[in-house]
Amino acid sequence: MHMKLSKNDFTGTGKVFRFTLAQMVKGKANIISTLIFFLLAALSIPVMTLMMGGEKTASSEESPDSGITAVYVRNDTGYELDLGSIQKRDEIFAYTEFVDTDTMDIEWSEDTYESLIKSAEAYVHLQRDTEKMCFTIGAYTLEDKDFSDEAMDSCLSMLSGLLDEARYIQQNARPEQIALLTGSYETSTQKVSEYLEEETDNFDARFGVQMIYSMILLFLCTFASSYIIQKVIEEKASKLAELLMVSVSPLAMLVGKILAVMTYIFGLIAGIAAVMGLSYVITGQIADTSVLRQQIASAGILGGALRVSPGTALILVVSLLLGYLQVSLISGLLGTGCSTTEDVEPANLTVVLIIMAGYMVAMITVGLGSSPVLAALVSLCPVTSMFCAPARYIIGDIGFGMLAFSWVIQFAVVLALAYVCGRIYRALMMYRGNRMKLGGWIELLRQNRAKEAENR
Amino acid sequence: MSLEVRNLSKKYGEKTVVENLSFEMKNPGVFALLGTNGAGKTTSIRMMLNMLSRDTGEVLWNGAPLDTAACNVGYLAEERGLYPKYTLMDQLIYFAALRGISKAEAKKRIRYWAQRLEVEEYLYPQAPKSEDGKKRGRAKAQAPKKADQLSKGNQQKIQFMTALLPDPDLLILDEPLSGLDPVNTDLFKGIIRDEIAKGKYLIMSSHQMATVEEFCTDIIILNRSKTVLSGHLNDIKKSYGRINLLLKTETDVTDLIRQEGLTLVSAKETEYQIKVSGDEHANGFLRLLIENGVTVVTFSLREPSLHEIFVEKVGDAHEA
Repeated sequence: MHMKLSKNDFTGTGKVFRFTLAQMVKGKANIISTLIFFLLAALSIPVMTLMMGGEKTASSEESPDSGITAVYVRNDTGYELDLGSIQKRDEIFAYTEFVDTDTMDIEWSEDTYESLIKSAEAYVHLQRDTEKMCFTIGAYTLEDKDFSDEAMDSCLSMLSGLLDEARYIQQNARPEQIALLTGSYETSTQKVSEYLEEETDNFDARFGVQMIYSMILLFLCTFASSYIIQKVIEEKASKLAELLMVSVSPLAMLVGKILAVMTYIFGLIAGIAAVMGLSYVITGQIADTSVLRQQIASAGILGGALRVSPGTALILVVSLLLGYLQVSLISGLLGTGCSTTEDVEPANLTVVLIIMAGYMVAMITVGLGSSPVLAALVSLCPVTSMFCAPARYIIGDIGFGMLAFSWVIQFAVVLALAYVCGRIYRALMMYRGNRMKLGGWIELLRQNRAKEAENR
Repeated sequence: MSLEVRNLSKKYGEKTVVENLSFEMKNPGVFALLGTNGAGKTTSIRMMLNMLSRDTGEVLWNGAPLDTAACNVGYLAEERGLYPKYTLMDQLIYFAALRGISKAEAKKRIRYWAQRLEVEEYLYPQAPKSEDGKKRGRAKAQAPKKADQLSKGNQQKIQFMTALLPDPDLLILDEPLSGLDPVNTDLFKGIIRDEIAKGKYLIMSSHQMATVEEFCTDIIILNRSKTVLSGHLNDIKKSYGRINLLLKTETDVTDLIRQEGLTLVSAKETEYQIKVSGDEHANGFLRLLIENGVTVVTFSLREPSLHEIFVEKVGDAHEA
């Protein structure tokens, strides 16, 4: 009997894959849990938006308006003002009419305006003060005016801007020169405490990236291990191993299951992401979802210091696949070393402990700083590498070369596990007795090697 | 076609479980693998089907190593198994697909075998009918049955179906009739008879000697991993000769039996089962009975049954 892997060992993988996947999709428990996941994903975006104060107020939904219906402008400066342009320059004056009093037959003055304007209207008088060599702008409203002081201030600011422009135009200034002279500028001040917070943001970003990636891998691996162990033991406990092994190799049975579970879980993750995306779009119609972006940005995750690009998605997929394959092969071997459904729990626990060890190391070491030696160590060491390498690359602790080297090591681990599977999986499938532990596996491998040597 | 098993051996640690098992099937028929519990029958079958590694030996089908994935083999394992929570139809289509049978063809074959094995009601649930026998208008069809909803006997029928679905050239049945009631035993026997008639190669392991005797042309008896007897069943029986004498008289002849030095196996009133050494020995005893004026009602000489041969061989080995 052959002990080495050959093409025949994988014949029938596709059939096992299709059957396992179909049964997983049909399973009532899976349907219910999938619906729950999708529901939670759909609700998470609106709930988070509301919790972060992203609800849209009625006023914020309406277009901004100054509340001033008309402004009567008496221009005694000697400069021609383009009053009609104000409505286009600032949308809050889109519904405000600016009227030059010279075009009216009425005499406008500080004494007569009260009888000429309404509560939603204003009278503005621009004039040159020849003694002081300056311009004055006076605004006049009724006592019970229907608009805010801020709206009036904005209005005066617009008029003073127009006056400035008119003065520059008269001095034959070009449009770009006028833009340069009238352009606004921003100022900012920073406290010492705010400066120190930037350091914290950087730490938050490192921790955030590592946590998000580790959580996804943790979810993927724990689901995968539990499904695979359950599927393998189900066949052994139901005494189906013999019936199946007549038609298909044990390795094809395992690989088919691993691929089916992988498709199911990756599909589930993609589905959850799609539902969250849809929920984000729908929530955006009724609430202000920018608070979510702000929250993520405030954690530094969208910061420029991180290596986030379209290629990041590919890096994550490759890393998740390698992590999944390692955990699922270990789960398959552990599951096959069991004989009864009572052994599911201890086998599962062993895999969970391995996964948790990787997760804990990843979370603890990311908090210890960006030491290159530590980053390289955790990115290359099996078990921790699947959690650390991609996150450390995105954070910027390791380069792509180191990430690729980590992938090579992880791929080697997958091949080594597949090699072990190829050698002892058949014997494990027929094994009955107490749950086989590492010592048993080594003994099986040793026996197989001895037999091969004898046959040679 | 031919099947040849050469020197199959298997050890677990220091314990030998199968030692140099060899046999050959040159023609279609039934080969029986007999033995006490733990003699190595199932291990031998598992080695033949490449499920267990062999320490030595080879299995040739048409002169080439037997590859179960490539060769059309049907197998009913001693450990009966089905997925407990999946529907029977899904499972059967899957098992057929693993043997390279298309879904449409599998459904056709499942329909045929479901009828033969009388399990249609579990595979094709019908909508419940009203008392007048007509289908109810909006009544829902019953949910497809799952394995754990079936009795043990019906599960065994489904498992037998999985072995028969590929229409195998080589059919290996490990204890096919164990646990079946007399009605289902006859049902299985009928199907086995049909498969023999179709020219299939069958290997059967069983403890039911009468059944084996009914079907098998060749046998091998294993005891504690060793082959203690093998060959053509009729030849084996002939080699033993007609040594079983069934005698019925009108008077008690126990003294005459003792006088002649015969072994009295059992006696019920004046009906005796006696071991003789051969035809001449029996004829001499008949003459003695007549000379003593005994009225002989029945005097029947016959070859030993397989049961007797088995007990003798395995018993001898145990004693040794």
